[in-house]
Amino acid sequence: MAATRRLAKELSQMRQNGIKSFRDIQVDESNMLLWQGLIVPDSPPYNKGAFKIEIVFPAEYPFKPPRITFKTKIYHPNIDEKGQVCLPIISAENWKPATRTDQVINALVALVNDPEPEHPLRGDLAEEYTKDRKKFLKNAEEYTKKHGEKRPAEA
Amino acid sequence: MSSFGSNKGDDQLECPLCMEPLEMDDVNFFPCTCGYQICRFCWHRIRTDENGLCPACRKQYPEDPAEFKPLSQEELQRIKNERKQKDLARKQKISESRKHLANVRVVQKNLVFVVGLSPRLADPEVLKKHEYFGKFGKIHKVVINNNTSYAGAQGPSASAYVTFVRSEDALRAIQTVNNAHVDGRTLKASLGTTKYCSHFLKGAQCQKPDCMYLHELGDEAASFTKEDMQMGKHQEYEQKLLEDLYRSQSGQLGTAAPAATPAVEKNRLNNTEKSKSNATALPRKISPSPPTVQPTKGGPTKDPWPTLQQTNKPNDRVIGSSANGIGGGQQATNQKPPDMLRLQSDGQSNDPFHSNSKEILPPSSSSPLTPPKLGSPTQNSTHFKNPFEIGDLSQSLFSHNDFRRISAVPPQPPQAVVPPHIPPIEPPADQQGLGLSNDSLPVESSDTDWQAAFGFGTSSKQEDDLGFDPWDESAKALADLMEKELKTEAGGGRDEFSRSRDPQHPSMPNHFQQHYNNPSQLPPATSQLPPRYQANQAPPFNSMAGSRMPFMGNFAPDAAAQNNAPWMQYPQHGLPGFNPGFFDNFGNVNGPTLVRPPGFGLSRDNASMNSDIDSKDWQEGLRSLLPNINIHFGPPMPPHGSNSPPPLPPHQPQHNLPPSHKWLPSQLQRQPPPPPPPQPQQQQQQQSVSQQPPFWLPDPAIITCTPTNPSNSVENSTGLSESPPHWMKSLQALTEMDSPTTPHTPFMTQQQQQQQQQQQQQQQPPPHFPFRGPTWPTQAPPPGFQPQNRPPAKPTEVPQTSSLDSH
Repeated sequence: MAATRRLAKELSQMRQNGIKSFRDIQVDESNMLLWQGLIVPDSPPYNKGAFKIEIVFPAEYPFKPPRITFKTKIYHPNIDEKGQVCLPIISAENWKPATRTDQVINALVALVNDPEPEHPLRGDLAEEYTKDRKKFLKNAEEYTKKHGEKRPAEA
Repeated sequence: MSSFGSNKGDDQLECPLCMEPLEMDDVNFFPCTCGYQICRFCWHRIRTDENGLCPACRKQYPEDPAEFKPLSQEELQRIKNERKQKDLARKQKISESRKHLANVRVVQKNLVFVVGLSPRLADPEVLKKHEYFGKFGKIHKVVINNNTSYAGAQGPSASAYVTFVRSEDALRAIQTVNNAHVDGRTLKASLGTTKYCSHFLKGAQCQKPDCMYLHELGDEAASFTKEDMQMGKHQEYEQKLLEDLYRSQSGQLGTAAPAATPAVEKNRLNNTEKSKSNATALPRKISPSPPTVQPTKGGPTKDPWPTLQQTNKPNDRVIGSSANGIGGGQQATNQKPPDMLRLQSDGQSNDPFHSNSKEILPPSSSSPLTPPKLGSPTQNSTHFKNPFEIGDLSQSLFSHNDFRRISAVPPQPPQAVVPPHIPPIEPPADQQGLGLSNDSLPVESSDTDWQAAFGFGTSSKQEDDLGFDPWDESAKALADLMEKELKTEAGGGRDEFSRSRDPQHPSMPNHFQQHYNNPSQLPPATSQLPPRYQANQAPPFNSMAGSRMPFMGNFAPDAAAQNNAPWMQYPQHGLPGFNPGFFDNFGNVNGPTLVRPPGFGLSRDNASMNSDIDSKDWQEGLRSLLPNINIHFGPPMPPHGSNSPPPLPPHQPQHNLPPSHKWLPSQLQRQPPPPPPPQPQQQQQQQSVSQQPPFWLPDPAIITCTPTNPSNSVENSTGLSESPPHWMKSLQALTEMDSPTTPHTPFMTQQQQQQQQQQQQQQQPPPHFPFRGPTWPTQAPPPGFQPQNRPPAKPTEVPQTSSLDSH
């Protein structure tokens, strides 16, 4: 199976290289199409916690893009209450089969650290982010401390 | 993208999308002007099923590949050569790194290496049988090495590698078989080691579909260099595994014991009810006998195979006993007990009981075994005692709970055991109801020995399957023996014994016959029996083997009486193994007769007391049966038949043989030596047994009452009666008193179950022998139930005692 074969290879490479902001990659050997991991942002206000995400790969991967959802609540303009993320690199229109998962993760971490209020999933947060950055940071930090996962020890 | 680069970096080019290695004609295939290389399979898919865009630059793929230069023949050759060289280099690298493994042997937890196999056993199909290694679990493969360099002083022997599917099975097999005596040889079993496949060492793929050598790195802890092995490090590793197994087994035993005891109690309470429980009880009974064997052997593990040896030994002993008369009988009994003990011990070793068996075995087992060989009368007494104790222990080991439970009661039985040889049997019997049951249990253990040795719990089931065939064979052998016995039959003593035995089972006679015949026939019979037993693993065979052994002992002079009791026990054990009900019946029947002679009778009485209700019925049946012995049993059987009937039919033919075997082994080995110590154990065992069927407990008692059993056996094997004279006397007295009633009852219960189905159910003694035999076989099948059987055996004894009491 092409998808499993490629995912196995990507996973081994990712574990070998390691991504500082993406930890605890958990994959069931019997189902390579479902990954779980911990996003560990290094910029405020999200550097007070960690966020569990789930990556679901379609059987047609890599010809079809994976889907990413946040399992941990996050106060972020580009991530809605359901955990859905607006990530251009994995949108159906922009998806390139040559893109590897580590690139997707890097793009996601970058988005978390630097919200893009111009393409928001949550307008209210985008507005707050642009108009009252201080308030946004305060709320996001509180929210992160309240709902965020425990950050793993520095490797 | 970086991804492209990474792909190119790989030794072998592969498509970045599907990760499949690029075909040779894909090497120069670049469909997009951006230079992103994919395989033509993915290219075709993108163009037909997907959006047709380059996966990297998202430009529309042109109709024709931007760059595609088919490889020239030279280039193809060059690439092929490069790949070959790379392959070669890689293999060399691997073989270099694995060079040191050539001298490494890895201990396989599921591989048993056995040394000392007689030519008869040097057959993969034979060793796979349930009587042998098949008992311990599913076997993946058996490889025989006929190189006799391992023979040592034992003459030409073969070695074998037996690969089990489960490592626990292999360890249990080692526990049971190691140091066992089969066909006059001492078997040595240990975990086998395996070397690495030469293909693996070269880094090549092994083409053998069923290559048994290693193709992957083994556990570091299990890997040993030749130097390590010379230092015995691998044995330390094996010992550790065995200890772990003991621990787990001991835990299981503890749990099992409680359950077994309840079963025994149930048996006592409801003799008839326990057809099933009897079946379970039978195994338990068998287990008891194994304990006795263990003592004699001194090694629990040895017992399993020893059972085989025991059979042989019993034969020898039997011969001696017949020749010697009473004195010989004692020796024989002594010897037999050891055999039984060995058998029992085997069973113990096989079962989780190993730990228990060990405990038990060490004390009594060693003495019993050696003494029997010595053939000294004194030894006999001690041996018997030991056997009983051992038997109890072994029983506990095999049937565990049952035996132990019985043993708990047994305290009294031990007393009975000591007296058994002499007279006190009856008085003690009452007190020793439990004790008797215990004794009977030892007998059971004898039966169980085989079972235990080869298939502890499961084996019994297997035995059931096999039981029929083995029984048939044994029946034939028994028929021969019977003829011989008839010729040899001294008369009264035998008659008495036979009476007592008869009630127990037709098999008793057979046993006697076997014993008598043993001198000449023994080797074959024993050899046959063991296999049969093993193959059958069914109680009948086991019982047969056990009985034969006991009979042998019985034939011995003084031991005869004592032996008889042990024999009885053995038979009972065997019966229990096969048909709990039968065993119980036998045990009961035996119990009365046996109990009287040795003093075990007391225990028998007690047993009978335990199974009062059943015993009464049994007694009636037995009484009617007693006249013709077999008949007596037959009648009782019907009443009790409810319990035993089902198994009987198939085993009928075998029953004849099995009973005798059972009787002999159980009585001889278990009863005589075991009486004092065994009784306690037996009592415990009986208790456990009794849980299943009360009769079983009685049976043990009966067994302890070896005299009764002997008497029965003697009657059955008229020829045998000669050796049992002492037994006969004591047994006669006892049997007259108890045997009629109690024996009948026990038999009734046991036999009824088995025999009812069979013809014997009609209470027609003579025919019953065969029937009994069959019953035994049927019981033998229960071997799978052995644990249960053992308990039942005890109950059976109790029934007998109860019957005695009622009388």
